Amino acid sequence: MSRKGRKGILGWIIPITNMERLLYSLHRITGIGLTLYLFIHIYETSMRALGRETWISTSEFLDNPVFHIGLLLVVLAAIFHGANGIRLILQELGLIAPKPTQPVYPYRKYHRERRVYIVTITMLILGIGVAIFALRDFLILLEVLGK
Amino acid sequence: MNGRIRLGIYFSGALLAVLVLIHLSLFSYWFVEGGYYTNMSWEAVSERMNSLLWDAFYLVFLTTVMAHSYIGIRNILFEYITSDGGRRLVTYALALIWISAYIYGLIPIIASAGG
Repeated sequence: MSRKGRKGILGWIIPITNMERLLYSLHRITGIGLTLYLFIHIYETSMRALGRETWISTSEFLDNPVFHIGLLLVVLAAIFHGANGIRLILQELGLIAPKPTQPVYPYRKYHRERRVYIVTITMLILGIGVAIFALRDFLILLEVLGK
Repeated sequence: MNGRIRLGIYFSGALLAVLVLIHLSLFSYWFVEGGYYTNMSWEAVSERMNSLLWDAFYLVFLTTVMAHSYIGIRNILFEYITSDGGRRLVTYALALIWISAYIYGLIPIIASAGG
């Protein structure tokens, strides 16, 4: 394939032509972000093997509003990535596709779209529900930290 | 992405959705008195790491998340690296990084396995 006309990584965000495209881009961006966090989290939790003092000093170092905001962003990214991932599994494995029918003129609008929208909206509602749990936890954390 | 790898990312993704919810609920004030601070304390972490059940949970969690992220990042890079040699290099380089991180992640689990 020629390199001409290829936008590279910019192509993820330009142009956002429809909902599917937006979800595709966000899925990739959150996936990369979560992978970076995964490596940091593995390093952070490995401190446990170095003993009580190291664990406590690591926890104290991380116990600040900046870290908690970062953690909230990670949790929200994970919620989005998970909800959209389940939608993708259902969609791409054909689990929400209708039975194929003969294309008879005049063609009816392919109602696969309707099912895709229903699943997208359901996952969106579930995702927002879990995000509300996470936001409340975050506010409590900030309150505890402020005392 | 070939069929088997595609199924691998779907299967690990579906499993992760459940495992992540369990992991997050451990630190939530909705489910645990004291939430984050209770379960991040040395005593609570030690108690979990001294339990075979939690060790098994973290082993499955770590393995699944490493496999899922490896396939995902490799898949993205493959879209930009199209030569066979380049793809082979990416596959081995990522495998080296991911296996190293996996072993590093196993240390706290194995160090205290089952108490």
